[in-house]
Amino acid sequence: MTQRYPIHPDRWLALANRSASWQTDEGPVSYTLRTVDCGTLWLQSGRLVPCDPFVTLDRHDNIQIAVPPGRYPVTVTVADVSDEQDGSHEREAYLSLQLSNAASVSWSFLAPLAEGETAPETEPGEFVGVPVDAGTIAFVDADAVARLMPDPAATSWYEHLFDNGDEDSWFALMDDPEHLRAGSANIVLPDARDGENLILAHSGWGDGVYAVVGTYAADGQLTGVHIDLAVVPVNLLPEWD
Amino acid sequence: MAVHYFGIRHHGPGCARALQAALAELQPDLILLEGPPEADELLAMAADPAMQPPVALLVYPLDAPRHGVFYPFAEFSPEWQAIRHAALQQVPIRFMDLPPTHGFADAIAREAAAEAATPESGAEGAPESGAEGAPESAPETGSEAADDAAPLDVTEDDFAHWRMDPVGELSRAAGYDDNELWWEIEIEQRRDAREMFTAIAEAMSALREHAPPPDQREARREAHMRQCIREAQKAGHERIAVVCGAWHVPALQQPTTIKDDQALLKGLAKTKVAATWVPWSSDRLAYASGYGAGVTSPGWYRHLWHSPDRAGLRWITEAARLMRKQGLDASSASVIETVRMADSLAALRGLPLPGLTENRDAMLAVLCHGNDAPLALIHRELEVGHLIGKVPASATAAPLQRDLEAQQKRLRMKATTEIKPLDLDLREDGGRERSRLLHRLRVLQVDWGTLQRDNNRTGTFRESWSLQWRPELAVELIEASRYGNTIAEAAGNRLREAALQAAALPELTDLLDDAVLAQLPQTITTLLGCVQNQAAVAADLGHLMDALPPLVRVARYGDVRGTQSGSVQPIIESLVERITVGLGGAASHIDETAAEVLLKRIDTVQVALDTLELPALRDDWFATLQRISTQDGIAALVRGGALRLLFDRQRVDAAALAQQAQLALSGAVPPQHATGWLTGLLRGSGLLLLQHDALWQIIDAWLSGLGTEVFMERLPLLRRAFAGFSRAERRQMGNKINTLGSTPVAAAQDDTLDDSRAALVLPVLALLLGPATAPTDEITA
Repeated sequence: MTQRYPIHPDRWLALANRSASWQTDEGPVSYTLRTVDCGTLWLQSGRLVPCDPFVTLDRHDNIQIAVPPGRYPVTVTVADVSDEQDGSHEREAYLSLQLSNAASVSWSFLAPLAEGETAPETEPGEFVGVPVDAGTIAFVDADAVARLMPDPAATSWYEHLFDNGDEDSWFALMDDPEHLRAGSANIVLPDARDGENLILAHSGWGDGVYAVVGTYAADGQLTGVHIDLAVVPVNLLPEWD
Repeated sequence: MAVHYFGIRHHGPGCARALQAALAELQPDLILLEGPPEADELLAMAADPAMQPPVALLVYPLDAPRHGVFYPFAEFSPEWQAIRHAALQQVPIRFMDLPPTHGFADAIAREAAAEAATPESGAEGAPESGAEGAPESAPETGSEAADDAAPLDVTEDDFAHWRMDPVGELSRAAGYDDNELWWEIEIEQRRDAREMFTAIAEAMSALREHAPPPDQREARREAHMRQCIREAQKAGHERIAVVCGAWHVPALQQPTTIKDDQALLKGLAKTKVAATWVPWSSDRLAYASGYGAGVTSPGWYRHLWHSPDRAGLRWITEAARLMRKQGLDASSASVIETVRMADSLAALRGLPLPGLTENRDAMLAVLCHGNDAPLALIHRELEVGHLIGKVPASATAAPLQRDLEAQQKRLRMKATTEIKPLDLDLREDGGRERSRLLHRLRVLQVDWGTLQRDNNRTGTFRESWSLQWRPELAVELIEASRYGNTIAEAAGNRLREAALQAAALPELTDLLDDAVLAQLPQTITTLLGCVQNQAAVAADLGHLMDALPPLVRVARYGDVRGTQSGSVQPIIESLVERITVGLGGAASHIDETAAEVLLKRIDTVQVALDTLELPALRDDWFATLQRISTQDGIAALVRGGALRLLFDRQRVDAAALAQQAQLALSGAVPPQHATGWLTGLLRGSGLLLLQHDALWQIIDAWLSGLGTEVFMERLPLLRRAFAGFSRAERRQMGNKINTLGSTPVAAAQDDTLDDSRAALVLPVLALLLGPATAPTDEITA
């Protein structure tokens, strides 16, 4: 059982309070945060895949996290990292799947693993993360991907879906400020019959291996799954500070 | 009684750290340092907390500050550590190099000799030709003097020797291609430096055995250093620490006789010398700004000095922070990967730690995704940096410098080495005062700010500056000190002195321009007197015409800057009067080149008069233009140009223009005259001409009538006449020629106004043009 930590004000406050402040060598830093509603994600199988949609997503054997099946709202928390706090420079801080409205009181790292894998032993503060190599992070249902995405051996995902030149290509939707916001997109999977979709966002400052975090209510029920994009500094991770 | 020699490399953090440790262990009772003895008294100031490196000792001859030399110190300079050690431990410290006064005396003497050698060339004619002539006629002397006066004169040279020769030899012997890399690994990255200085001395001794003997200046310097060491021994010091460039160590240890050294140092010329501390900047420590004695990456060395532990990690983190500030992707994971890659590279290359090269390579590959641009940013901002040092107020020598510091503080204008834009609104007190300071400094040739020409902003109440402080400006300030003790006083005196030397009217009016911008009312009065006197006797019409625009600016800026402009008007009136009288004569019987020059001057006069609200003056001017546009004997180009000016300002109507065109382009007129006239007429905006079909038809007819040979001959000039128009204008002209005469009906239809729709824009037009200028019935008619 992974260790659960109480939700500490200096970090997870960000998710709830929409602001984050901390001290650095050069003085206090304060970010304003806002959440952007990305619609709902249809998790028919309850097998949630956190991934880089353009690099690590596959039809099968994706790393996944088990949640109760259902349609859940997804939000991206955006931090204003500009010195002036005037919204001139924003970075995504978290991509969150909200499972419940119950108040969260604790959190733990979740280990996204492919089926059949077992979680390695981790020291406190260590985690099994989501690798990102195209500066993008996404949530999608494992079953929907297996059923609906074309066979990459026959059909190039890149040419037919991601960058096919149409207005509804994944890249176009992601860059379209009118869609959700530039940098986030809610994409219906090809040939979806029941609105099966994928929700993606830019990954903060860029590539890396990012932690997946679960938040819990007082009764132990999972209230949300968040990908922490390491924009709000984390005192838990040694080399970041 | 022992003398301990510490051969160092200027600006090496490894050397600095080793020296720091060695001095702490030795506890010397005297430190002798390679440097200018004239600055001995200033050394104690290093203990002042207000002194923050990079700083430099500036030593200059009082009579000719421009020959001054700088001795820069960064906090990672071994010399600086020696100075700090002495100041904090209360150990006496002295400079021991050959005093720069001898070099200055030589340089000044050579300069005087060069001036004496070319007395005639500069004395005759206008002062400007003299100024240009001097360096050309004496290039050799000039370059030699420049050599001697080059900043870092003393330290630069031996470093250059050392870097080019000894380190090269040693690193080649060790099997390295890169000289710097060998030194970096063997010396700067060495953690245990106990025997380092002995090893350096041995290596240098071995090298000097095979090196050619030092030149005379080197020999004198080393003789002087040996003399200083002997004196210190004689004075009974027990533990003497000698800190000098490693190259000199063998020469100082070498047994030589007092007599030989004295012979070398005999009879050297001297001059009066002053010394002061000045703030230095990190980019001036770098090679990038052209100094041989610098280090390529002062920012990296400073970083190594401050964080010897995990230097690479912290360095890459800094780089990531910098990239993020610029809005570039730089994730934590990339930082970690970059650090790992730098470590791996160091291991592959057999280095104990990743150096700047490994970190740079790793950052380029990972953090910058192979993109050079962010790496260039990192180089500029981190590896070099914009750090500028501080010196205590008591160290500032010239009152002028102190005045500038006070004003900088009051106006909150920080001197930085970054190029910073500064937009000033002259309607505000703060903007006006800042502009005044910058203009005054410009007059003193202390070019902290450069005035930017911004085409988008034509208002007289705005000024755009680009500010960049360079440490050398300290020398300019000292040079300017002879004009006065405050910036205002000095700027005024400088302008007055220049006015007394200026012979030609345009120069005087330029000075007047400067005085107005620098807001020096007394100087303006003096200069106006000079201008008036000169204007009364000036015979050259060109000079009179050139003098007008600055005077008009005086009158115009008067409104914004609160200068009295009333006294300028009589001068302007008398100038215009003389121009109108003389213009006809000046435009007669001149060739095309002279006509072009004259036409440009006519343009500037026109622009100047357009900005003034003096209708009587304008009427006189237009009458003159009218006269020359029709007069025989006037250059065709000028006639065309004058006509165009008149037409643009509605002094000639379209019918008259067409009539004149008919005359000027008639078959009887020689083609070269017709082309000249057309060139003059077609300058400026083409849109106005596009509206006048009659004119176009005349031009068309004239062109069609030219014989093939004449046409080919005149074609280049015609092309040039049209080249000034924008592409869109030329296209429209082409279209017009295609349709000329074929659709008069359509054109007529286009001209009819829809009264009801036109009425909608009238209120706006009235607002824009003022109530008096747009009578509604005239427009709707």
